Amino acid sequence: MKKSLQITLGILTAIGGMIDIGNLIGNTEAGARFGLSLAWALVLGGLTIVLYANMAGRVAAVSHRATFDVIRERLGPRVALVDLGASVLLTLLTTLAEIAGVGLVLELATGVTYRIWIPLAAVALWMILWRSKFEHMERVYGTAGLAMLVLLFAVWRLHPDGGALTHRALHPWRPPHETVYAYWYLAIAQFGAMTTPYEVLFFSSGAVEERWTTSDLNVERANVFIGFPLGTLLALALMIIGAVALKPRGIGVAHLSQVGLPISLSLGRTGVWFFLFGAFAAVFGAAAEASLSTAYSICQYFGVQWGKYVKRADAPVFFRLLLATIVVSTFGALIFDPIKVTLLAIVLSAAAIPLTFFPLLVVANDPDFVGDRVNGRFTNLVSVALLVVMALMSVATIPLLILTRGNT
Amino acid sequence: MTEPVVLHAMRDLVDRQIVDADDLLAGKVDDLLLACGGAGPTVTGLLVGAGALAPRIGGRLGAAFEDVVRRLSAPQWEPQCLSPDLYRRTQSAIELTVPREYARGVAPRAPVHRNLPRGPVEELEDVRLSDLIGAAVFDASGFPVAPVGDARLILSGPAVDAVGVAMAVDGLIIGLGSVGDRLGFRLPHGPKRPFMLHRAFRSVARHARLVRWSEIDRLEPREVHLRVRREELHTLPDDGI
Amino acid sequence: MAPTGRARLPIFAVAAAVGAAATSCVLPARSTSAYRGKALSTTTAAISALESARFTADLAGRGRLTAAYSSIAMREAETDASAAQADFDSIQPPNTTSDRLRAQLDPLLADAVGTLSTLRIVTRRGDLDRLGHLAADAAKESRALQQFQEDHR
Repeated sequence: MKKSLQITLGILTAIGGMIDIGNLIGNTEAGARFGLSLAWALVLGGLTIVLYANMAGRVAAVSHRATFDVIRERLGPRVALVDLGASVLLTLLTTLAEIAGVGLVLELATGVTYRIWIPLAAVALWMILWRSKFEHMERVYGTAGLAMLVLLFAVWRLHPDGGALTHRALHPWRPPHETVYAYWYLAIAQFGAMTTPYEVLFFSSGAVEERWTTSDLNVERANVFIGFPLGTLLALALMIIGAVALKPRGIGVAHLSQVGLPISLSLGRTGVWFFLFGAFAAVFGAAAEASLSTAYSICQYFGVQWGKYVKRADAPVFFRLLLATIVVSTFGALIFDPIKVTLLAIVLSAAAIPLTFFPLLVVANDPDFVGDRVNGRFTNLVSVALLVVMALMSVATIPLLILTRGNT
Repeated sequence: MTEPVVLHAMRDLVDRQIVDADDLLAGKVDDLLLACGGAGPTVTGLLVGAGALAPRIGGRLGAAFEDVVRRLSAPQWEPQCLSPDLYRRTQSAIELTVPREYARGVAPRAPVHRNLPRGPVEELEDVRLSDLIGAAVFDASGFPVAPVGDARLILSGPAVDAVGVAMAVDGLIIGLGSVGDRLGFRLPHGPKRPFMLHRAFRSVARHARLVRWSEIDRLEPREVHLRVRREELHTLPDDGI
Repeated sequence: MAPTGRARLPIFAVAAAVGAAATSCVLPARSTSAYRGKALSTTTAAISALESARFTADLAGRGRLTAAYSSIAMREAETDASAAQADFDSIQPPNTTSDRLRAQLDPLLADAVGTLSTLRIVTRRGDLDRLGHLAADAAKESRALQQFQEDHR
């Protein structure tokens, strides 16, 4: 009974942890502008994160080593430092966006400006990260994030034309007023929103935090093969909501409030409250994950003690880094436009991803790390193909960012 | 007489995680301290600390990195030197035999900035592994050969789970093969997949060469000068641990 | 060692481009078609704002949104339209054809911003009776902007 509870909670966490402010805005916007013509990028991203998170989880469970730990050892300190720099920049931007995102959710719920909520959210975040046990924290926000399942109900109640949606998803089409650059830029953004490196860094560090061993591989697999696809389904729901309720009205998504309007249409006030509650949990959870990932990766690079699984006094550098991350992100959240930062972060994620995923692919095939649980042939085939895709995206990102002028 | 046990310094020692006797993380192996003797250098200690890591980064990035880390680490900028009696090697990490606080207390500190070694190898005293890795290699005729990628170490005891095992530098591994070597592709029990990567790295690895320490004439800053010609260099033996 | 002169250029170019993209600073339009393109993207933004406001007004009128939510949504719609108008107005029309285009679009934008402003005020006051009437105005202005788009594509 306890084991099955663990598996269930693992799934809940994965669902709750998949949707963040970047997904809420970015996936809905893609639906509002291109219908389901970008669904393929989202699904491809979902497949990628499932494969690579599984590798990261397996490596962590068997060798008790988290991803960044492994990156420096296998690729050397110079390459790992470049990777670390990119990773830290991204997780900082993400933490900034998520803290601001919490503010935006609370603003919608209360009418009080988001700037007032930001420092409060930051303090709450710090208190939770400082005091609560890792497992406890993960499960609370993971369970609360389940409220995001309201997205699936909202889609159902909107009575979309399934045939037309499927046709568009399978036959992508670019509206004439949208440039080809915008299409590919948003494609990369959909992919990036699903495959943000912090998910993998956090998942593998979390596996070590929870002291997973080979006997926990079932939980790990449930997390990855049920939880993450369900999370992808939620992202797809956001895209459908954009396609069905916003696109016909000519509404583009630039604010969180626009994401809730179709939910209000289909489910009324109750639906909106569920949405806000779920969004709060998901975005707050993402803020915790992103800030932890920043501290994890820096500590893992230097080999310094990290984690909430040891006494606070045994990991002083880790907690100092965590506090610094939250402070810096909070200041940034008060200064910069959170939506712009979010969208920039998910696109840059796509650019930085190959650096994180390549060593993971090698190590997941290394018996020294995973014993006899090396990747299967099919997994390797697909993973290498996806790595090539990621490398191409990586190269295209900055030019597209320039050509679309940040999607304006 | 048993087969000598062999390690590659960069692949098997450097950048490995150090874990103390209480299972707490205690940094990574950032460099190796080598004492040059008659037959060749021996590893006298593992250097741990940002002061040992920063010079290995190199270039503009390394200079910026060094600057930041020095400001943040003061006053503990100098790396510490862990002697062989304080640690043992395990399959995936280095384990201390004592708690990390104790190790911090007893391990001496090594200077950060020093002159790079130069002169005939017989006259050298202390050398660090990072002085050698990446150094340009020139053969007896002065022709450039590939840069140094790794160092081959011979152990006078078991490679895993033994404390105080003396490690001597048998020679230097040069050539691009060291990239794949570092990823573990050359080990018999290393990764054999993904198939394409395995093939690619193994074919490049064939070009790696071994320079025995006795074949080195002298060192200059970031340069290794050999006594032999490049045609006489040995192929790398297939080492299993 | 600081980057040399030659190495500096690509680094700065990328940083500038990313910075420009992140802050979406407005570049000048040097030709009729570029100016028209800018006009069309401005109308898209304005239509989006008007339709968001209409949608919000409809839902608020039926009690499907809280006062706080509607208020925020209306304010954001007004901000979007104002920003689009300001962006467009800041661009120098390159020739007389573009002048005429601007002369056509400006009043449409002004009307849109005006209606959205009133909608924001009315929503904040909770004056639901006027919402329907104002939403109809927004619909009219949206159609006018859509017509403008049709005429100039």
